[in-house]
Amino acid sequence: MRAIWCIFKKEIFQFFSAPASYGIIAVFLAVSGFFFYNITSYFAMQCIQAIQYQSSYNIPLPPMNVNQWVVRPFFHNLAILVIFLIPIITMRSYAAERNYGTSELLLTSPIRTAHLVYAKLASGFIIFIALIVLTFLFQIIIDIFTPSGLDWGPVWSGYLGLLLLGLAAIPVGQFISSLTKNQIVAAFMTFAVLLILWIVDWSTLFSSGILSKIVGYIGLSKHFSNFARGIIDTSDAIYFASVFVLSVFLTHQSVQSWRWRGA
Amino acid sequence: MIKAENVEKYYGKFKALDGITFEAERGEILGLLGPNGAGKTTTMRILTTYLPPSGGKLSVDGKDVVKDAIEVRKRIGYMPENPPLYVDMRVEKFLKFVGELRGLSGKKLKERLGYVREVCQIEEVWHNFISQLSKGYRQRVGLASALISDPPVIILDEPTIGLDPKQIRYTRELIKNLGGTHTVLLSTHILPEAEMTCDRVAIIDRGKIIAIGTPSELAEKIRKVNAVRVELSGPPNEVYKALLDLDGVSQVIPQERNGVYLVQFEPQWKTREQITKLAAEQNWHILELSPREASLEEVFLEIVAEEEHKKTDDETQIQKNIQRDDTVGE
Ligand SMILES: Nc1ncnc2c1ncn2[C@@H]1O[C@H](COP(=O)(O)OP(=O)(O)O)[C@@H](O)[C@H]1O
Ligand SMILES: [Mg+2]
Repeated sequence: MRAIWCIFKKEIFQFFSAPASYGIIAVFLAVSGFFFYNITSYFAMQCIQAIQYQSSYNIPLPPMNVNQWVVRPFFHNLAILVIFLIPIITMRSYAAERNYGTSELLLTSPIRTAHLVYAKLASGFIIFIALIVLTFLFQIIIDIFTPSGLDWGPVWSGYLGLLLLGLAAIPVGQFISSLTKNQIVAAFMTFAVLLILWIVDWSTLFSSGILSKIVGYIGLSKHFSNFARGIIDTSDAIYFASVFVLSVFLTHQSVQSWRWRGA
Repeated sequence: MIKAENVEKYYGKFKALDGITFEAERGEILGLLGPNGAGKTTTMRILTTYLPPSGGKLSVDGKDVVKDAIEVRKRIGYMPENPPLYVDMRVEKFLKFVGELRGLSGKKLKERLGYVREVCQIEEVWHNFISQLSKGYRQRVGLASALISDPPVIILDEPTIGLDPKQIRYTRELIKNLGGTHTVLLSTHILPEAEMTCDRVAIIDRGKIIAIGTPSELAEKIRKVNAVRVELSGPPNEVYKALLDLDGVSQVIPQERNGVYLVQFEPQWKTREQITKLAAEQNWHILELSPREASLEEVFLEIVAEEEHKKTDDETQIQKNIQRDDTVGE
């Protein structure tokens, strides 16, 4: 436990002491802010059109649903952004240790490999959560400017979805980082894997059969969109948990194998 | 304290260690001396549990390196060849991290930080980023990180590489002072260093230990040309002639000081006894009569050369010659 805390602190320190990290945070906020602006202004335009339509034809229209028009697409955009963000957060975790030789320090310290892996995971999540929490600002803005107020249920489930997405994707990224000494390679590979997982179920849109069912289950996006729509399904949670457990296990094996590969 | 028995290590098909056996007593400073590529780093990495051995048994303080790795790691402070440092940290922060990682906290940690700060001479750079440090300072911070938890066993891979002469002298002195209370294993390809700092030296070449002993024991092993340094109280000219007349003496070489001679003789003759007799007969005093010490450098070259005769591979011969050139000059 002492070792986990010690390495966790080191990881957090290294992230927040690097100027590049603030660049990442700034870009993340700028891009999510841009998405938010686009979505809300589109929604506003739709509202204005609806009002004009209503007054010229004098037909009552059902009220515009802010959750459907703003919250849900915003979460989808955030999820895509997260797919870009996570490789950047995880790329250095193991690759840099090996590249700078500090792996030799860690692996000859009286700590278990598992504790090293847990510490890196925990710090990865905390950094991820810190970034995601910042987007909460946008939800508050929507809430303030929606006369009827926001339906908070789907917001919470959307965040739960993002959290689970991170919970599954961060171990994937860290595992890939443990396979190479090159951070850039790690980032690109992680991005490629996450992107493929994200879009793989599109291929099953027009086909059926057992294979497409499997491929459909592997795809990240479907499991995530249930959460974004406010549907919490245990099968989606099980999916994220399986990806998590498998990647953590592989990371542990990979770090152990550094010894055998002599690096 | 350290025990290595028949240790083997393969990198793929390449055999880097070929049955290494040695032991280091508690409080002893043992040197691993050998040319580049001999297997020093590999031996140390196995001992520190960084790499698993392919065969053989190793233990530190009775704990097996493979089965009891964590216990072994607790007992070892290790400085690799290129000290692993987090360059984005300040020196103090880094050493604090290593201390905590090794289980120190509170007052004890503070005390040890103060100790390594002083003894490794890193006060001036204490608050600097490691990325800004010179090679010499990085080396010293690496040494500090090996000492921070005050482990009973200290393993240093080429600790003086990249230091300037003044720092080298200081580091050797520091290592010497660690002996007695700590078991130290250090590697070097520099002969005088092994000679000066180590209680015992293991000469390693191509994954094999080819000789082990105290520097003077190793010297003894190859003292083939028998020679003694002699100073007698008689008139120098007479002494010179008398020495030359002794049975079995091949050469008498005047030494740096007037009246001191190096007498070389064929091994089967008891020349020392003859000199004693001569002095008694002539009523001269024996001011000095000592076997000439062969330096470890000569031992090293001799042993490596002997091994080489057995091999006929031209390429390794050339390589070895190049490496040997490296080792002669410091
Ligand atoms: N990770 C590795 N993979 C393959 N060969 C290696 C590796 N590390 C060392 N070697 C080889 O093993 C031999 C011994 O290397 P090393 O232990 O580093 O020697 P030294 O420290 O005495 O210079 C060398 O021939 C080296 O090329
Ligand atoms: Mg070496």
